[in-house]
Amino acid sequence: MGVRRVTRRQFLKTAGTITALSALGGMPLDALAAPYERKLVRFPEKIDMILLTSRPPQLETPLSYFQELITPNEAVFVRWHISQVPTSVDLATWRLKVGGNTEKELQLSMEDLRKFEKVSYTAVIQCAGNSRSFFEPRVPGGQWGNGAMSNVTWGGARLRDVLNAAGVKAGSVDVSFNGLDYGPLPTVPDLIKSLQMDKAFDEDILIAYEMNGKPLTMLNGFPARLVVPGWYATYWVKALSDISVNTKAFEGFWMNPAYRIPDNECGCIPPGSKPGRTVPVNRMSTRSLIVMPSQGAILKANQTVAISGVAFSGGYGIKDVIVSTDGGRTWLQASLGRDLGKYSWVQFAVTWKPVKPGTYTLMAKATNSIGDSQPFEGLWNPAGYLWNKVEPLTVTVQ
Amino acid sequence: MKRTLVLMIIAVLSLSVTLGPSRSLQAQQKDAAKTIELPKMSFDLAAGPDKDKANAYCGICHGVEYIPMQPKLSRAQWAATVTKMIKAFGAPVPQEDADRIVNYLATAYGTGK
Repeated sequence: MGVRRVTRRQFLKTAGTITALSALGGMPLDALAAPYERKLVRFPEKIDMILLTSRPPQLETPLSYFQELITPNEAVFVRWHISQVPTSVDLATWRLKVGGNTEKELQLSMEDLRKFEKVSYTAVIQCAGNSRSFFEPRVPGGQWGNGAMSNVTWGGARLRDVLNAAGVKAGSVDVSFNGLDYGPLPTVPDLIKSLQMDKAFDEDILIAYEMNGKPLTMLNGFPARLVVPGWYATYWVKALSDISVNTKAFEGFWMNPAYRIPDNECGCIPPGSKPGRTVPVNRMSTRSLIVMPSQGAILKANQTVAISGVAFSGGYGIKDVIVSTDGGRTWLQASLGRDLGKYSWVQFAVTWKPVKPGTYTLMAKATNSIGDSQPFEGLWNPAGYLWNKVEPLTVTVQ
Repeated sequence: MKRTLVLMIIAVLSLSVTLGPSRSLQAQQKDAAKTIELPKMSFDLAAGPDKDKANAYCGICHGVEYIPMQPKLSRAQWAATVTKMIKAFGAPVPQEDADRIVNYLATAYGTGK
């Protein structure tokens, strides 16, 4: 099966049939959701989001928003770890401290931060535990459906430029990042994350003060957050307040034992077993998600519909997406939408005209530019990270 | 006298010139101060002995809705979870109450194993 590139016009033509499909109705868009009762709640600066927990706030993006290339700020998922989250920040007093093993200590105001060259790109932000509720056997933790991800255009200063302004001294091994959130008891470990020196100097890492051209929403990390494109969002520390250059490797609860995966190629082990060596979770796995039609949708025979969704990988773009309407026996090449760069997700679509009434199993499988793809069986690890299985979705044709 | 007045006017003018940009900056900063109020939510746990202890202790650090969100867990998994809250996060739960909470969780939210 050869790769068939299509023009943007062809893609839009394909995707345009989505509207016709929506008119057909079918199950609610969130039917392919976690297997427990979920309710919608309204938090400040947010649309109605799927509630995981209120304290700390953990809110999932409803799947219908993934029909858009860019996720609106109001719909970007929310995940805080510890309950004392910032609810009030005044830029007159907020400062970002940059210090540790540096030539000088910086106390950057927002005005100072904006003086650095501004960089902007689109990147998927995804929780390491996105889709955890689909693990089998099930694992404890935040029971996310597929909505702990969003695609956002970030704007801000390069971390590297800020570190160079402070002057990193010899003998530094990593950089740690702390935000304004803190634990409800002094014994609760503060959420501090670290990046090794060479990673911290990756030119694409941002201290972002804009999402989709606007200041960050409070729940997404106002006034500034780290953006580590291609890597899971655990590193994207919100409401940044302290950056520390360390001469000894940072060791904190949220680096170890939390957010670890088995130290092997797939980050997986046999279901139910215990891992030996572990490493910090890092680059995102390649994955795709069919957004339309939704799970359980009822379609009409001999009517053309679009099967569409999004696909992304950990910073290697998407080379192709294939779609099956017969449970994986045969595959169609999907057309890809506008390319917003290697960190963004890409929209895919195929047109489909089912003839015979019956039940159909739809699947999508993405491959990135270095050949990484998606497994047909879920890869298991005890914390429920890296989910990227080819998801079957059932529709009925009448 | 006149000269003093002129100097004073000049002084006031130059003061307002220096104040000018910082005033607009203050206005900007006022715009950039953000405050939100988080909704307060309450959740009712399943009935059972020692539900009140689960509510009181678990609720110190997080909303108790964390509990019904979990898949049904075995007694050993619930015990490991409670131990993690005490050991890793310092939840101030006496051993006797911890045992009662594990019992409650394994009964109300358990697999029965």
